[in-house]
Amino acid sequence: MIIVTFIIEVYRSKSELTLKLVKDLMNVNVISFRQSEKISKVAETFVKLGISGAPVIDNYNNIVGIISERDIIELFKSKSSILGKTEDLLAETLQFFHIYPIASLKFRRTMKELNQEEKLWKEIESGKIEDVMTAKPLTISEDESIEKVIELIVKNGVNRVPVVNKEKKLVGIVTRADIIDSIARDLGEK
Amino acid sequence: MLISSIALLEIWGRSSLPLAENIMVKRDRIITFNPNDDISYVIQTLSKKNISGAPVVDLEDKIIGIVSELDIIELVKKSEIENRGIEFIEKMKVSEIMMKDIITASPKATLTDLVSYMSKKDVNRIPIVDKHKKLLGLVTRDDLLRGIYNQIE
Repeated sequence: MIIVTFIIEVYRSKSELTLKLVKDLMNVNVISFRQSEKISKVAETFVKLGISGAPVIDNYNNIVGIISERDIIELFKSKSSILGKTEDLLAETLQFFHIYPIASLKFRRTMKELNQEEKLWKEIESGKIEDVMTAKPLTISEDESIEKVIELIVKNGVNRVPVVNKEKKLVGIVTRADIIDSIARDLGEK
Repeated sequence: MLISSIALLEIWGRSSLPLAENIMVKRDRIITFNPNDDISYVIQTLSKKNISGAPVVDLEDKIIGIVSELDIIELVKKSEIENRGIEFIEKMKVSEIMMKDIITASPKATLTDLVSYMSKKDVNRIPIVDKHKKLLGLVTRDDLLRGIYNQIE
């Protein structure tokens, strides 16, 4: 009897949320990509559907990676770093020659830079998913507890965790927003 | 020298890189929180409005912090470790969990500036403020991606 009371106490002390399973919370309509697809297609899908990341799968629904808007932005950053540097150098040079004495007047692009910029957009446009995705991402089984997903998200700072079945095939995805929605529902029911 | 500066002047303004003011969501369309708001209100709002975080402003509309999904999920994790229920979370205020050490940018910051801030500080959103830290707009990672996408389209 004491044990039963104890179990009930423990049960009550936990929020409803942590007692649920991943499969109760996950999105089953998950958008995914193949690694040979173009980054521009991912960018388009993200912008149009308002999602910020998606798993990358092979022909057999095995997860081979994950791609997020962060990866595309990082690609832009790495390719565009040369633009920023030239811009600063040019502004400094102009100020040195007193051509434009107002410090706030900052030159943006020379002809050479415009060409570089065009090249930059082409490179991003034609890039492949496999060049920027995170390979072998964290996954979680559909039979795990929500507590475990929360732990993965907090420890690894990720936004989403792909969900797999026993055969390790992609069956869904859990995002930070799904957890927030679930807590909001718990709060609303009270 | 004269010729080259004329050539440069012609190019002036032809930059295709957008500025923060071009891609930001403007103040009237941004959801914000007050430091005294309850966390349960924040959770409900984030869920209902489908956003992942929002700036926290004082009475003068000056930015004092940011509260995000991750702050709340971390709080849930903490309440689990301490074996406390959801009531623990409900009683807390925004000011107790918001991130106070935040990065802001001016409306004239370029796309490249914003990308480098976001990447360096690993944040999801950058509030755009005037020189008195008054909130003018917000640039999220989604807005940056849209800025990049519009260039490659």
